[in-house]
Parts: sequence; C-alpha cells; structure tokens
Amino acid sequence: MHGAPFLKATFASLAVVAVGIIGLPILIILFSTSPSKVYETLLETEVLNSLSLTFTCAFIATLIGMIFGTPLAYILARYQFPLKSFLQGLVDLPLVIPHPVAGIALLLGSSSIFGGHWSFIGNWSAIVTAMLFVSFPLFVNPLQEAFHSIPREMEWTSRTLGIGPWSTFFRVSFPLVRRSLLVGALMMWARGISEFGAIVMLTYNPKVTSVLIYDRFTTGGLEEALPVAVVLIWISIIFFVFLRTLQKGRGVSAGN
Amino acid sequence: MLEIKDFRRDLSDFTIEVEELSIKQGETYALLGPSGAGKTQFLLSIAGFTSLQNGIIRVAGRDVSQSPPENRDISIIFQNPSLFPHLDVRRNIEFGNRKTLTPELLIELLDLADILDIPIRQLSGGQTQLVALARALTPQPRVLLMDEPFSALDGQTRRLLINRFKMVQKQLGTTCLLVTHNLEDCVSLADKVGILEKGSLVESGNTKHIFNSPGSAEIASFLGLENLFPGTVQYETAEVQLSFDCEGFPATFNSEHNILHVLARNEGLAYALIRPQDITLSTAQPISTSALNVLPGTIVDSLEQRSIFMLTVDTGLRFKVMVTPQSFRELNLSNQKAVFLSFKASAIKIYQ
Repeated sequence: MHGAPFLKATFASLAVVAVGIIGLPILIILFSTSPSKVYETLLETEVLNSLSLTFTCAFIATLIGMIFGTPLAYILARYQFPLKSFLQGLVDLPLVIPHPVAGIALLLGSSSIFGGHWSFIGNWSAIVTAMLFVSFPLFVNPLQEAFHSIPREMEWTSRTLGIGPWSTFFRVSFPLVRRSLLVGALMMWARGISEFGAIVMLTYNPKVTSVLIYDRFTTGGLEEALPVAVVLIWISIIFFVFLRTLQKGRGVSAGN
Repeated sequence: MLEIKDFRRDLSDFTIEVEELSIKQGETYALLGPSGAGKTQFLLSIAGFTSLQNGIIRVAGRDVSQSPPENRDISIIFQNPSLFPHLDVRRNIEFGNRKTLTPELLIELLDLADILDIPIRQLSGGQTQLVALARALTPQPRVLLMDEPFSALDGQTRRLLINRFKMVQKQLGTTCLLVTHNLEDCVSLADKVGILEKGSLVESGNTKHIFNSPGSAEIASFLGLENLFPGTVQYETAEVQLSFDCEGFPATFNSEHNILHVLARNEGLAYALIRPQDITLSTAQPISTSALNVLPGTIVDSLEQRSIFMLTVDTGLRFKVMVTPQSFRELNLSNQKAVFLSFKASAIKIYQ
C-alpha cells in the first residue's frame, strides 16, 4: 500500500462500512441487556440445556461431515467421472435453497426411507441431520479447493518411494490440507449453531438455542428473547476467539 | 535393466507405441521430442500411474507391468521437484519406505549437510532439485525416471547439478530415463537418445550417432542442427541437381558428386544438412581442392563459444561455420570480411 494513500483511504472507508453492517447490530444486542440479566439467564436450566444441545449437535454434525465430506472433497478434486458437475451442484445446493424447504425435504426423505419405524419428531438426531444438511458445503468446498491445489506430482513421488496409496493420503495429502480442514470444520460447526429454519421444520423439541430464542420471542416478546440471544453471542465469540488463537498457536498453516 | 516391449497406450488424440526400448544398467537414455509428443505420459505409464493397453515393462528382468507404482523399483523426479512442504529437508530425504541406502551417504555425495535444517520454502531452485534427487535415490531404485529435471534452472546451476548427478549415478549404477528438450542435457548425460513424435519412437540409438546422422530433416531440425536448408530435388536427365528456392542464392549445389549422397528418391521438397564443422573457410578462393562446393560469402556475425568461434557467413544462404580461435586470429577474420566456404559433396546430407 506504500505510495497509494488514496486507494488505502478509499478501501479503509468501505471496509469500515462493511464492519459496521455486521458489528453494529451485534454491539447493540450485546449492550441492550444488563450483565446481571445475562448472568441470571445463563443459570436457567432450560437455557443451559439448549446451549449444551446446540453445541453438541453441531459438533456431532461436524464430525459426521468430516468423516464423509473428506473423501467426497478428495474425489471431487482428483478424479474425472460422469455426472461430476451434477454432483458438484448437488453439494452446493444447501447454500441456495431456503432452509425451511431443506427441513421439509429431510422430513419427507426420512419418512420415505424409514417409514413408520423411526421418526425425527422430538429427536436430537433431527437436529444433527438438519445441521449437517445445511452446513455440509461449507466444509466440502474449501477442502476440495485445498486438495486440488496439491500438485499430483507430490502424491506420485510418494508412491514411487514405496509408499502405498493410503499412506500417501495420510502422510502427504492430509497434512497439506489440515488448515483448510480445520477452517472448514469450524465454519460447519458455526453454521450448525446458527441454524433455525431447517431444524424447526423437523422438530421443535428438544429446543436448540435458536428455537428457544424464537419460542421466547413469540410467547414473552423481545424482553424474554434478548438475554438468551446475548448469551449465545457471547459464548460464540469466546469459542471463536479461542479456536482461532489455538489454530495460530499450533501452526497448522504448515504447507500453505 | 529397463526393458519395454510392445508398449501401447491410447491418449485422447494419439497412441503412444513403442515396440522395443532397452536401457542397460547404469546407462542414461534421453527421450527428446516436441511438446505434446507423449513423453511425460510415457514416463507416467512406466512408473505405473496409468494403465497400458498393451505391453510389458521389465525392471531387472521382473515384469512390473501390473505392479502398483510402490512396487516397481522405479523412482521419479519431475520438473517441479514436489518436495513435501510440511517436512524439513532431512525428513524429505528419509521419506521412502525402502531405505536401502543410508540417507547420510546421499547427503554427503550431494553435499546437502549444510541445508538439512533449512525450511523447504527457503531452498534455491538448485538445492530443491538436489534434495529431490537425494529423496528419489534413497530407496536405491534400479530405474530413475526424470521429467525435465533441470529445465527450470539457470545455466551454471544446471551444469553443477548435472555433474553431481553423473557422479552419483556412476557410484550407484542407477539406470536412468530422462525426458528433456534441452540438447545440452542430452549430450552431457545420455548414452543413448530416442526421439518421440506423436507417440512414436521415430529414432533411437547411440547419442553420437543420432547427432551425426539424424534420420530425417525434422529430427535434424529438432536437434537444433545448424545449416539445414530447404530446397527441391530435381532430376535433370541423367544427373540429379539440388536447387534451393532461397532468394539471393543463385545456384544449385552443382556437384554431380552429390548424387552419391542423395538419399532422396522423389522429386520435390528436400533438406540439405551441412554440419558447421564440415565446412572449410578460407580468405582466398581455393584453387586446388578436393571440395567441389565453393561458395563466396561475407562474415556477418561471430560468436565465441567455449574455445570455438561460430561464424555466420552470408552466401545468399546463411551458413554457420566453426573455426578455432587460432584460425580466427591467423586469418584475421572479422565481420564484413569476404571469405570462401568449401565443403565436400559427401558432407552434404540430404533428407526428404
């Protein structure tokens, strides 16, 4: 930026507007409730249960996403096959369809697959499924890009050095995408925590935090909903700052 | 050591077909060819990354055609050295499973001791390629495939690397198949040369032989051989004359002795090749000489290349002529000086 003061000033002004669009509403929410009210809310069993349910379900959804999404990302990055573009589009679909529609699709899908043997209603598995569905592309897409950026020659070299395909994957490819994998997982987890539309179509109870906020808003108004929202935002901020610090501290950027 | 028979692999727009290729232990075979001739694909098939339609690949007598790449006893080095960026230099060198050579030996032979602790991204181009070489040789493969390994390096680094490679290869007796389009690499390293064009091995043999007598005009041109002139072969009654349709060149090569060397059998486009070292240069017209082709011309350029002067002489056609520094001084040669070129009819090779 040296010698480009006008560019720097213009970009900085535009960036301030962007940060303001995101930051101002959050700041207003955070300071719209007294700290004592936030503390009281945090001690409510219903709030604690919903927070624990939300974070746990988002974590399970992320784990499942990692187990199934990593091979999918590798296949999409490395191989050419018929209907690949279709598959790619399918992976991206949850980003564009309205989430209540995703909820309806999952509801219909589960009843046609499992029939009367198993129901999403009242079940935490519904929450995990909804979270997994809407956040899956956020994990797969960056990971696919990361696999794609590894030169094939690196994997080929490993093979000619006597290393089999599995070992090559875990000793060469996997370490090189570690950063993208962690970032993708973090994004997936975060997206899961914030999900409302798809979850509420599948099951209202047990209540994840987003549903609890909605529930309190419709029954007790803004005054009831706001403290829970503030608690969720604070916990999310603390988690994200902690994880980003951890990520930097461990130097997971090796190879990038 | 490496034997390839009836090799066939279909690519999208042509097929690589190599009937027979054999490289003895410790030998280096250079595969030349224009871009897109299938050289890299040929190497990848030998290494086992692409399946063949047909053919047998033997390494030290063992048929490895169906073996996965990790069991072929073949290492590979690419133009992009592909060092593992998440590992340091030492762990890159020690990466292979089949460590039959101690890495220390290679570190010593290739003089890598000082860079073992340097992060990969701080290595220079030459150091990177040396580490890649050490890594490829640690399993002591019987065959080493190299795909343009020195092409991204500057001249001095390139020569240094080639010298170290030759030393290590001699010590380990590694058989090497090198893909390159650099003639210097080829001449410095290769015992044998093959030329791949659109998947076919159009020429294969001893390096010296191929460079002295390339099999076709395309090959001579591809090899960067100087003094290759297009012309037309014309049958005129009993005598064959070769006339050049080059503006400003007034005559045909007028020696009927050329007939002796004319390989062309058809009328039409042909190429004449006269190697720079086969042309004699004099400042006065030679009177009694066995060379029947004598052409007057003017020196238009002179370039000193490793204890030899390469002159460009304009006779209507531009000839490259080699003279020693001693001749250059004694004949008092300089640009714009009028000279005569003479060469024997037998020095002209005609390709059609």
